[in-house]
Amino acid sequence: MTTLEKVRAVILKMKKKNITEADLKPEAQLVADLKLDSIDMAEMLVLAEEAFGLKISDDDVKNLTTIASAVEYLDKRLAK
Amino acid sequence: MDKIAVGIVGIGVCVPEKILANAELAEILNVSEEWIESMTGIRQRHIAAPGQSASDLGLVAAQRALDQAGIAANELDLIIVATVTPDMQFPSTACLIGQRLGLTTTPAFDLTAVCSGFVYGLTVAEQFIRSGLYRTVLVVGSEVVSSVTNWSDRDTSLLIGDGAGAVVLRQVPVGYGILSATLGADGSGGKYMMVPAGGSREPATPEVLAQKRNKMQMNGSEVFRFAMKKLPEATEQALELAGLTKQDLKLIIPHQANRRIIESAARWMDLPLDKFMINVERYGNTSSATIPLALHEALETDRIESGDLIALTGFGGGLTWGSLIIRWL
Repeated sequence: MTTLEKVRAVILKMKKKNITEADLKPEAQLVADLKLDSIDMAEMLVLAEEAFGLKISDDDVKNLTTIASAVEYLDKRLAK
Repeated sequence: MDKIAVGIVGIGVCVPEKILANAELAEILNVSEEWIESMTGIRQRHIAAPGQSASDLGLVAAQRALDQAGIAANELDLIIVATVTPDMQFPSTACLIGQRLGLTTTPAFDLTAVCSGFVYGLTVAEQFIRSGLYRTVLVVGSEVVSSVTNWSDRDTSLLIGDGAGAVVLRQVPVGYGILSATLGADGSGGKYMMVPAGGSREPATPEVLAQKRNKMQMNGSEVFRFAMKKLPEATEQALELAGLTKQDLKLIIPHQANRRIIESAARWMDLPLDKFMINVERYGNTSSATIPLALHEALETDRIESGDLIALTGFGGGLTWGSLIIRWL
C-alpha cells in the first residue's frame, strides 16, 4: 500500500457521511474541501498514528493542509 | 470465583436548578448555537447558583442514594468523594458531607482523579468491602466545574456543567456487582488539562486571578486524541479482566465529555451507538458526576435490568482513566 492509499484508508475509516473515495484527491483540502473540523482532525491523527506506527505532535498538524501534504509529511517521517 | 462480591445498592443524583442553554453561551463566545452542538453534542448544562458548592449538590445526591438503598446515614462506614472542585482546600468535601449527614466518627476523604474520579472511587470503595474492613461505603462524584471555568475560553466553557451523583456500595450475591476493574494514569499528559494556579506551586495572587490561571485550561486536540483512544482501550481491558467480550455488554456508560468522543468510540469498537448511554446533551461535562448521572438515567429509563452486564468507563485530567464491569443486581 502506498502512503497515499494508507492516508485515504485512514480518512475513510472515520466514516464521515459526506466523504467518498472520489473526494480524496491529492489536492483535496482537509478543512475546506473535506470539511474536517478540529475534532475530526484529532480522530484522523489517532488513526494515522496507529496506521503508520508513529507519534504526530500537535505542532506538526499545521503542515497537514491537503492530502498531498499529509502524504509528504508522512513519507518524510517514515524515511527517518 | 471470589467469595465476596461488591455492588451498588442505591443511587441518587442532584443538579442545580439553573439551566444555561447554548443560545446564551453562543452570545458570550460569539459563535453559533449550531456550532456548539455540532462540536460537542451539548444543548444545555446546569450551573450552580452563587455559593452553591460541591458538598451542597453531593449531600442531596447522597441522601437520595441512601433513601433508595433503604440505609440510614449512621450505617455508613466510609465516605469517599471524588471531586476536583471541592468546597475548599480543606476540610475535605467528604468531611463536610459527613457532618451534614449527622456523622461524627465515620471516616471520610476526597479523591482526585478528575473525570475518572467516580470509577476510581468505586474501585477504592470496593477494596474496603472486599477486605472485610467495612460493610457500607458511600461514593459521591460532585462537581461545580463552573467555579474553575473561564467563560471567555471556548475550549472549555462550552463543554462544562455542574452536578452530583452518589452510590451506596455493599456486599451483593456472588456473580453480581463489580466483576473487574482497571485503573491507569499518565502524568506526562497532565499538562494537557489543568487548573495551573491556586495550589502550593502558584498560590492565588492578584496577578494569578487577573490572568485567570486559577481556571481550567485545556489543549483540546491532545485531550481528544487521548480520550478517543482510552475509552475503547480501557473498556476492552476491563472486559478482558472479567473474561467477557464487548458483545456481552448491555450498555457502556462512558464519561460524558463530548458526544463526538462517544461516537468515535462506537465506530472504533464496531458497536452500535445505542450500546452507549449518552445524556451529555442536557448536562455537559460534569467531570466526576457524569457517570453516576448517566447510570441513574439509564436505570430510570429501564435501559438496565437485573443481570445485565454494563461497563463504566472514565477518562480525563491527570491523565487518568478507569473502567469497571458490573453485573447489575
